[in-house]
Amino acid sequence: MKAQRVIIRVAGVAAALCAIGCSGRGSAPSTFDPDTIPDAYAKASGALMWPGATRAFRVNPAGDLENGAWTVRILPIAGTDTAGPPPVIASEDRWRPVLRWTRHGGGVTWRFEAVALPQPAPADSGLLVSLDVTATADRDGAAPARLELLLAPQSETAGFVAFDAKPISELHWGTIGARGVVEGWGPGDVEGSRLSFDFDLAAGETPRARAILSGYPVESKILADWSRPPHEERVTQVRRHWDRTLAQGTEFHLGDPEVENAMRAATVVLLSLRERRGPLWVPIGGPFHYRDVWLRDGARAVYALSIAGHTAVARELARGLAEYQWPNGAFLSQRGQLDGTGQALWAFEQAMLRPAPDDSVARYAEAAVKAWRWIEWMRGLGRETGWPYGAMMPFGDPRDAELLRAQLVGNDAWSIAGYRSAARLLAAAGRGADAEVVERTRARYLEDFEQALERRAAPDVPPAWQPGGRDWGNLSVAWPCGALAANDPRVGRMARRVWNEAGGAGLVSYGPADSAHYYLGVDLGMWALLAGRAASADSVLEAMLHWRSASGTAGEIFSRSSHDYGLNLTPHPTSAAALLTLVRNALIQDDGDTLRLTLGARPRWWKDAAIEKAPTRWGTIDLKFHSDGAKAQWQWTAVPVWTALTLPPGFVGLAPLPEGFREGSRPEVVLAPPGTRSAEVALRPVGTVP
Amino acid sequence: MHGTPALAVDPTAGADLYRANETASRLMLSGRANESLPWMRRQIALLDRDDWEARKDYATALHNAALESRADRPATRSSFERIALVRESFHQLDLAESLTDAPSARAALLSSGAHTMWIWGMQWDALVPLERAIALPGARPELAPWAGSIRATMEHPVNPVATSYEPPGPG
Repeated sequence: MKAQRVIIRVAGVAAALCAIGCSGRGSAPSTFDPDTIPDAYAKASGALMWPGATRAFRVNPAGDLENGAWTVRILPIAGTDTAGPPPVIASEDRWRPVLRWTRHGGGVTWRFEAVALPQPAPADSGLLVSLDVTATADRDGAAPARLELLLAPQSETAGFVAFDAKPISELHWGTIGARGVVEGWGPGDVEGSRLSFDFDLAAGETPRARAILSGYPVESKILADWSRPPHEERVTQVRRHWDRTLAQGTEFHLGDPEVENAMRAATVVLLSLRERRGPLWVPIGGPFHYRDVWLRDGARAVYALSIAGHTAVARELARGLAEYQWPNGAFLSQRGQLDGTGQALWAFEQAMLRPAPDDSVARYAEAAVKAWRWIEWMRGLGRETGWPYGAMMPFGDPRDAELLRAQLVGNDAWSIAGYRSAARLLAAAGRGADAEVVERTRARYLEDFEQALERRAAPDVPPAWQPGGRDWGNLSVAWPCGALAANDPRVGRMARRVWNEAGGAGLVSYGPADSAHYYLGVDLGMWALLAGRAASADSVLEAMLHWRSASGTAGEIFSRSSHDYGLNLTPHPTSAAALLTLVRNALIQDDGDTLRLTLGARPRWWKDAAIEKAPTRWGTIDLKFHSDGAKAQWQWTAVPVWTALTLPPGFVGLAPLPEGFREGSRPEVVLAPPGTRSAEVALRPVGTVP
Repeated sequence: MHGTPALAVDPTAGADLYRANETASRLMLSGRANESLPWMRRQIALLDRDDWEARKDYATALHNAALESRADRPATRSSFERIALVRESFHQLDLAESLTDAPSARAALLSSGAHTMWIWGMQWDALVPLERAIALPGARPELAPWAGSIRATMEHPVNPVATSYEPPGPG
């Protein structure tokens, strides 16, 4: 059977179905041109993922698709010319995972669109891709065109291998009427591992081809059945799923589509990068080369999903991380990474206490006690030795991050964070006396931390108690760990040093100055927010917004000069978590004993912003804020603690304050008493006489 | 699952004790700890009575399985499975400890657990049981210099001399 007739028929069915059934946001076809979407990276790429799927497809810079086990090479040929690689591979609205890319060659423009969906039950970890290709002659009289899709073993240069990839001797396409196990399916001409479509590019014609790709070998019939709904319907399913899923979380209406879409893209990444382990779910470190679980990354994912309003998912993932507790009480996922214990406890607190304690909080409080006892046991033994840093965590060799075998400052900072989380979990579980005991030991730990810093006599906060090491865990001392106060001058000096090395506030460098790290500096951005340095925090956010792909997602480490991320493939979930962390906390911050609003709100957001269904430690709140330059107004759900309102950038409050309100710790901060639902503060530009 | 579920085949079905022991040992010695696990379990199941040494060997195999890697990736899917293997390894050591009162056996079990903790970077959790093992009659003499090396490295973690020491095998 010749493919062309089939192609025309499929296109006709799609049009008919849309005429009777397609309406609403979830199905409205988007006409965006991918080549107009900005991409900060040198290599175009895209990820086709799904929650629970154990493989993902990468659309690589050549325009091929690979899943860690095999590659689908795509050859769009016109005459004797094969189309070049796509300049950009973009997501719809730069967040929704409907991928598009365009290739040109031989006077023909080839447009590709792909979406991923789960393989139907009983499969629970498979992933299917619907790929749609159209060809358009750029001029009359174009040569005949042909689209070839070749299944080939995964290239050694792909940069990732699926954990369950097996040596492959043969790969097969399925097609109409075919049987057997295949890796893909399409209504074209099939010869073994080659699927092809011949196109007659007559004037005004835009022939189409469609292929179904599978993450795993499956029966041809499964893919044939799955191909019956036209591509447009699969795209509609994807749109609806993600629109509805994201609507379940916090909604950010900032009047700033770039930021809103960046948050959506980040949330899609975090929700997608989850795998099942029996009844549990775990957060994985990436769809491709980082398809493993790290406590340090998983904790960030849990936190970000919690503050983004995806409470149930955050709690599911926290339950998965609970499996990492060792018999001695420690939490460890990788050899030598002793920060895992504090990170796990912090993740439990974030997931289980926001917006209200989960029914299972007692279990996590008990796990936290066991972990706390382990650290206290070590600190007790260490104190008895009389060693210079005996009371601190013993040395670790993370073989990553600090790249140093030493007693790492970040291990102690995270342990201190873990103590705070343990106390909060215990209090929430009704074990107030135990919480007080843990708090007392935390106070002692903070004293020891201070003494260790004095002994170390470094100009700021070093990576390790011994000399050497790269900045990593030490960047977290103020936030989220609370080992040092935000106004501690040593944190300020550390931020200045790290940002100076990177050329200014923004993304920090990891190792060489040219090597930008996307998420490593987010804790300094958070520190800047808490220290009243909103402009510095905003520089971090601006850099995060810039260094994103056309899918709206970010990598981990890349070259500032070449924009190349090498084999450290995008997207990275901790980068996604970092962006969500910074934006949400610039609007709503609930770590301490005060709710902080508009801590780092951008001038544009002040025109009229609304945040809905935002979980905090004092319940789920809504927030609206607005400023016309003469006054600032807030409306928010009342909470039982004081609320610190940060005024728009460049303004301070004009007396008198509303009754019951107080001046904050800085001129741009006003405190509203517990139970307040709205506030209006007259503004005076900084520098003008009142 | 991704498609049609396949029935799991037990490779040890029908194997006698000799074959189970021989196969488990061969696989362990060739660095295929994950493959050795069902043979270890088969061996334990075929013994007349539960044996601390068999449990200890199984614990060692479990730990080695968590560390095993292939040419281009770990042999295990993720840290989730690796930590589960290590946890089970400690469970097996606990079972083994319940099966013996012999000081030398207890010393061997303590040092085995210490070895796991040392490998994973939990120094105090390695040193404390190691020093308890050393105090027991019949403990292997090479444990003492290992403990000394750990203590020295803990006091001076960046001192390369203190870390040049390689510990004895789990014995």
